[in-house]
Amino acid sequence: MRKYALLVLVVVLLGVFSLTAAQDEITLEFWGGWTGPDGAIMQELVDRYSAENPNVNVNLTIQAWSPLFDAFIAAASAGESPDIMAMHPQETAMFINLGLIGPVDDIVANSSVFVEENYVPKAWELQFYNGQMYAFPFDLGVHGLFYNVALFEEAGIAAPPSNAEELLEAARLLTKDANGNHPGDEGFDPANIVQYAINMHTNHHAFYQWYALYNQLGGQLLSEDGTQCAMDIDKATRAWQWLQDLVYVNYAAPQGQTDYARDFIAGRTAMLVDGPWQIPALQAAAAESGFRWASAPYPTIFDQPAVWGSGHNFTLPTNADPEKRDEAIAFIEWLAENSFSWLASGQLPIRQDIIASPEFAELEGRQSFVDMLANQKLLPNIPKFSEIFASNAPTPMMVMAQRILLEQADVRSTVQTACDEITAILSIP
Amino acid sequence: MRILPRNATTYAVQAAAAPRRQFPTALLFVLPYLILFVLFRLGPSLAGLAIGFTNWQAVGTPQWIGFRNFEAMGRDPRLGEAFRNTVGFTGVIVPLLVVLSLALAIFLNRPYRGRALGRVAVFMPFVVMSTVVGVLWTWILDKDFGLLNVYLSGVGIANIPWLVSERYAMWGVILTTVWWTVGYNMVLFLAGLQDIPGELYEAARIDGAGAVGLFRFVTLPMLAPTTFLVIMLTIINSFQIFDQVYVMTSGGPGTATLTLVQYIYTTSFQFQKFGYGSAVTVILFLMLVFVAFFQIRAYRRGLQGVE
Amino acid sequence: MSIRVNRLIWYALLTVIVVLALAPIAWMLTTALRPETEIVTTDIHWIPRQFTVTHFEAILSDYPILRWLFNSLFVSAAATLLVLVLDSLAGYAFARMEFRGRNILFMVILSMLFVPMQVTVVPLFILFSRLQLTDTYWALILPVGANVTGVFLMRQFFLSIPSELEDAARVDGANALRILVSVVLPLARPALTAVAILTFLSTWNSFFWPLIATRSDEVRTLPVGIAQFLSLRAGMVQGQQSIGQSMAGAVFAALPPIIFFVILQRYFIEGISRTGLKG
Repeated sequence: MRKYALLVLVVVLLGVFSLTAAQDEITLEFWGGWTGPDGAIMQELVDRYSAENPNVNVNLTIQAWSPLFDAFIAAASAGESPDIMAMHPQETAMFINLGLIGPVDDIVANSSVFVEENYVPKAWELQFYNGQMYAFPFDLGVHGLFYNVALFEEAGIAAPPSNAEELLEAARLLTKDANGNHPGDEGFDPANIVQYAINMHTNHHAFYQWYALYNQLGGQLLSEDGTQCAMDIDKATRAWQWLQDLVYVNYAAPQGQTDYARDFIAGRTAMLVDGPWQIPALQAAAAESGFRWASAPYPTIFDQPAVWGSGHNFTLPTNADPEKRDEAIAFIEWLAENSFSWLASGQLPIRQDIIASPEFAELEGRQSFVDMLANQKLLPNIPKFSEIFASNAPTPMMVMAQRILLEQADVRSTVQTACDEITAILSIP
Repeated sequence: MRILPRNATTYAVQAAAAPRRQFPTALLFVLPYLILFVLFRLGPSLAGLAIGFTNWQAVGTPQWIGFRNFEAMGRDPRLGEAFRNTVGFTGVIVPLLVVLSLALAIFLNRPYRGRALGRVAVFMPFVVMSTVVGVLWTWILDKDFGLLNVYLSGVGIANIPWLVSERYAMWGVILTTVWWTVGYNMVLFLAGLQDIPGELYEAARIDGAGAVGLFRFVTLPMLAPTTFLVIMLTIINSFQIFDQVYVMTSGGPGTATLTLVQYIYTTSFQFQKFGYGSAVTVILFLMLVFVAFFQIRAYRRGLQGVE
Repeated sequence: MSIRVNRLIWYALLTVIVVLALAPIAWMLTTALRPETEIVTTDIHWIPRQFTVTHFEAILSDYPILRWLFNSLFVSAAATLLVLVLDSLAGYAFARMEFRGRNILFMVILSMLFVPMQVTVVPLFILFSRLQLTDTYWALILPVGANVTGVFLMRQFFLSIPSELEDAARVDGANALRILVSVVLPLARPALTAVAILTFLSTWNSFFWPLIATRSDEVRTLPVGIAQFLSLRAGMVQGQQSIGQSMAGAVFAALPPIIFFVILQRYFIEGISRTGLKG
């Protein structure tokens, strides 16, 4: 009998102990889609914060963006949500429209960390929708041009291409078949190319590139009121034609490429258009096998500079527990102040003090990306974003990109079809 | 989608031998299962289908809009493509799986050494989860460095763009699915083969039947019920194919591998049009009920013809 | 044709079949065991020139793989037990007892196979949220108890065995539960094995519902956990994905069910053939 009494006592004590422990410690649910090497960096930041703040435990959930949003929406259907939800600026309208994330103007007004002057203007503006601020900026990213220094030296190219003419000339010199012939040479064999000049995306980054080129021509995608497609078919066709020709006419880029970074590191392509998040992998290759790379701004093929870009930000879901809101904000502010560590992921800083700091100047390959931030073009932030732009669904943009680049479809009619589909989607209220 | 023995209504229609009415006892036996079934399967399924008559977006109060989602289907070209792709996939993979798994079953039913190893090997892929199968085959089917293309180039077939062309992508998915599920169907056929009495073969042999004759006049007719079951299961599962497509192509390139369930997932979760996605599910559900009904009737007719 | 030639053809065909079936799995294993530079090449060699376990070390140190593994094992085992108990009882009732609405009820149960899980997930989540059971083992186990396949298989098996033994026991005064437990179930070993294997596999392998229903590593299962570094589609991830690491994760996920199946395979094929799944 005494044994039992003792046992009961222990159980009760344990229960009480765990209850008090639970009361003292706040757990913040923090969701983000960093499934690359960036995930480990974010986890380190989270661990550091938890160590510095013993009363706060941050639970970081990482999953690819698409299933992460699936879980976010399913949770919302039951009135649940994480305390902090990371996303991209162009996706916020979708969730604002569903009522899942709320404005943060009041918080920013009282914050000593989120002060507009401390930020790159672009990074700040992107967080607004219909005149209200809905997210805290964290980083930005844009496409840039990586190049293989050894292959450039071998081909005798002094500087990375910055316009159409230079790019085509470099492409001719860098593409070669098994016999060492270049396109245009006598006996060049397009079926036997061993080295291509540049990569060509076959996923959503393909229409990101097109979007940049279309903006270089001054094109507009949607009408001002957002109810229909406003594409200038001539300009849209010119932009796509340039990309399609790189593959099928100039033989500068491989057809149906499956893995760009892999091919670039293996020397299969001499240039790589992609975001700064590739930098860690390139540095690893440099350390491992002496791979020599450098970066340059995204070339201006047409009239004016423009480059596709995006970024990450943090939102406060409306379904989150209001009692944990202050802790969530404190954590987001801490992340912003410690965002230098995040740059190891390759993403670009948005705080003026970091951009001006000597530590940042020492980071490899970033400067040419930062220089392009002013020309960054984001996809339109609209409620129906994913119906038109989702990367892993047969959206008008994906289908257009893949038909043009994989199937060599007629550009003009494919563009027209996509524009009609976009109007059809937008016309439904 | 896993090919589990998801048989349809065949058996339900046959009255089972039952000695007497045992209502209270039966209730006690069925109740524990029934509670979970109603709570976690029937309820959510009915709710899911009912959403098809609303404009629900996962949040807020759903509004009843009658058949408007169904009317909108007529103006949706993507749905047509998803339907055609699904029927095409089913039309190719059902005969392929039936013939291949039957051949494997007959072969591995021979009383020779090593057949147990053969059965285990053929079934093995089925135990691997779909996400892993998808990733593994994405790598094997890689255009430039994939195992398959490297071997194919050895016999003079160069660089098939398996998952990066509209022409081949569905074949890549079909190849993966055959590898993954042929073993399960083979086991069903093996079960059927073991039920054929040896005397039948003896008798046929005495009547002078050769190997082809034995297969045609003994094996095939005796296997008819199993064949029916396998066809039924593969049709039902093929109509609901999702996992492989989700992992390997997301329905692309273009719309080449967009299937009905992939489209239901996309419209519901990615576009937050749960109402419309559920409406498509209602159609899919009715289609499958119709297919099952039609098949059972055809099967019954066939049996009567034999008798 | 002589017996020798016959045998030769048998072994040749058998080898081809075994190799084709197992090659992809073997390829996954040997890819996980070699350095990345040896992976991205058209120079195919099956035995790695340089063996390495760095991919396994990397994922073991970066992710709570062992915790996910335990969760998967626990959930799959518990769900299997639950299904065996519930489905034996229900299957027996559907096979041997007569009650009003039995056939209709059974048809309703079977028709649930026609409703894809993509539309049931959100209502199911709302239900578990109301029950305050999201992110618990319960959320992963209970829905498996509502499965259709197991009831169907058990019913088919019970229909296929003669009822004389049961009648004899009934004459001796045994009640239905007694008959089921001491007379029928001992005969049902093969069917129980088949149901156990199929339930274990489908629970182990399920992805979408656990993704929605769990959020902490204490409950998350292996397929959901590894999904974050499994994708090999370029551009779906920012930063270069290591193929070796993906394959190492795949091996972690695939090996337990393979071992489970190899141990039980003898009973499995016998089980399926005895469940009356013959039509």
